[in-house]
Amino acid sequence: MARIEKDNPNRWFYGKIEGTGEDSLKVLGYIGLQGQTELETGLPILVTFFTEEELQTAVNTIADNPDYYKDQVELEGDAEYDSKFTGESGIYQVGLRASEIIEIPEKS
Amino acid sequence: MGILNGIGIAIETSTLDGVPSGPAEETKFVIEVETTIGDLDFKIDVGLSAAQATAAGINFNVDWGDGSSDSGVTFDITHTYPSVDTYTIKIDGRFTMNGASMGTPNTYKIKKLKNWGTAECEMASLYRMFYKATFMTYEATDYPDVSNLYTGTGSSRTFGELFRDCEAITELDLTGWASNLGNANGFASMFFRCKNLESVNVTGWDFNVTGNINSIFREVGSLTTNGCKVIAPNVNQSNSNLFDYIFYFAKLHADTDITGWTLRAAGQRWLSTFYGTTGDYGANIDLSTWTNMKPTSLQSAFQGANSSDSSKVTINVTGMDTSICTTFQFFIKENNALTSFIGASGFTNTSSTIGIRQAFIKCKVLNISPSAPAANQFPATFWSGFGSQTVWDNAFSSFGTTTAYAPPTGFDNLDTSGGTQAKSMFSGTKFTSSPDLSSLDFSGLVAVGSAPQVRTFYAMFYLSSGITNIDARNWNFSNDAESLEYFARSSSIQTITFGSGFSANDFSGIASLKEMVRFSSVTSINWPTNADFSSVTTAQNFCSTSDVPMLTAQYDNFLTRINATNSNTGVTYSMGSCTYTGGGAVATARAAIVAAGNTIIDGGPV
Repeated sequence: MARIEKDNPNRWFYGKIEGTGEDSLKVLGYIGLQGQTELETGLPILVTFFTEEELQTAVNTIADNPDYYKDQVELEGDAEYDSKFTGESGIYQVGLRASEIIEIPEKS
Repeated sequence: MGILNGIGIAIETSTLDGVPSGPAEETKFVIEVETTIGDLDFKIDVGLSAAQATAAGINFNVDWGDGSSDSGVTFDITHTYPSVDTYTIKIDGRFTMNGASMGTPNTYKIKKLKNWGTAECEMASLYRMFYKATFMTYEATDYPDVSNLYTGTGSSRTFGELFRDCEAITELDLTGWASNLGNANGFASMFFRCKNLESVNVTGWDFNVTGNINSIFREVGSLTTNGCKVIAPNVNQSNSNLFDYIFYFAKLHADTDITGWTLRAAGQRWLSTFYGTTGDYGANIDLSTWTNMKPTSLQSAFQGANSSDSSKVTINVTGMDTSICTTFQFFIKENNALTSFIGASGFTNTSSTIGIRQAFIKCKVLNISPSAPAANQFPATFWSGFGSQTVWDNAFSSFGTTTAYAPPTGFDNLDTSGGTQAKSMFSGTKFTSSPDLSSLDFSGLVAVGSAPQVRTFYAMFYLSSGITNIDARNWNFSNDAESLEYFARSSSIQTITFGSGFSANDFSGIASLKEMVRFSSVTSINWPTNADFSSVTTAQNFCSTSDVPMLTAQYDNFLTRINATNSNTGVTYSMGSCTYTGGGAVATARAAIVAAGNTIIDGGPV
């Protein structure tokens, strides 16, 4: 099992399985403030970063898509989009492009 | 009196006393048509089969206005004009035509209705006569002879869709018709989509016929600046069980007079009757002078317009009897500016009632709370009368969004026992105090099993405010409860109790805990000690990273139950800064969850 301890200054991460491409990525994001939260995962690969920019570069490379990370953040919370992003972002607005859900589409 | 000169033009003469008179009074049915380049034909289609036309006695003479004429016409006839021009067609005899049958290549050519020809033209039917005569203006001052309308088809005796889509007509003073309605027996959609109509006067008309007046004023005046002045006092509709779409998306002028209507004593259906109605009158609908308002359905009866942010302000239905009303769904939905719904205090609601779905959605400023005037309140028994209601989706979404009020009196007794679907039920609802929702009953849920956002319990309290405590211990939901995704996201909810110890609530159908309490005020979630989380595939962003939505003991129980019941892999549990008891069984359970290939983010052990 891999983990990010509370005192680890690297708060940005991705977890993945073996292989390449976006399907190999299972979870990515921010785990919270240093000293406050920790992460533990049964995924075989856990990579951590000190900055969000570093994480973005890494996952975009894995996904071979320059907008992959942005999409994951901005579509987080969209019921129709299976975002893998967790936590908060300092670069993009989380859920910015997620569909408005307060009014569930429905024929009257 | 005028006489015809040598070229057929009426000229004025003088009376014996020297006072000039007008042109000769027209006695035939007269319309003006305009041919177009490449289309010089004009067809009169009687809208009947040949046999029906014979039975109806169709037999008319037509002067085409280009020097040619036909006589003894008993069926459809097409005339080809010599050139592009405007022609005046005059008809006498027993006649009808049907715009829908003629089609727009013909109806678009009609530019004026100049005369009905009461004396010389007997109408076999007015049904759809000017349907889609979109460019036709109205100059007639007489009325049609409908003393002997053909009775051979279901619609031939009606004025149904007579002026439908006549968008160039701006004024219709039809008071002269009042004593001359012959054997007409229906008026449905008569003025449907007369979008530029600024006034219509049917004072004195007897609408008490066997047919109905559904959609009669539908969309009238919708393109006018100030709306259409509908002058229709004392309408008698005491024979019809249908009262649908009467003012659907009509724009009604402030001086509209629809006072004193009498409806069918045994009841009538109000489907979309005032749906989308706008204009100064549409913003203040007063039906308090009406008699026998006894809806069997109020579905969308007063629904606002979807795109409008300033829908109806006041609706007065004082005297309305809802004792046989079977549905209230959508009935005042999307009235963003509605402040008063007067007369609801007399509403009764029985267990046979169905339909509250989206009934109050977007009633942002409507005050039906104990602080509202009595006439503006719904009776306490109203809320307990929905026992047979199945779909509770969005029932109160965005209710009180702009101005929060206390929950209505009796709201604590909301009867959801017949509910099969309940998503987004209170999303965006704004109260000043928390209603007691402990008696909600979801034992009748039926799984929807479709897209995430339509699953049962999805976004139940999303964006709500004023609701602080959810006591769900006795909700009795079955394994058809599918999702707690967005359940209390961005809400003011502080505590959620699904169970205290053992609970009859069945979590085994819950697939998602995603964003369940993110951005909320939740600090306590009690899960039952027998919670079955076997279907959970995600708890991603359950809360924000710095949030602690569960006490340590509560989170201990959560981890224990996840480990005991869930064997899924690849699940992300983003549990914020929740802490668990380290060094014992809970820590072991948590380690087992991770070892199974899952990811947990939390505040670590204490």
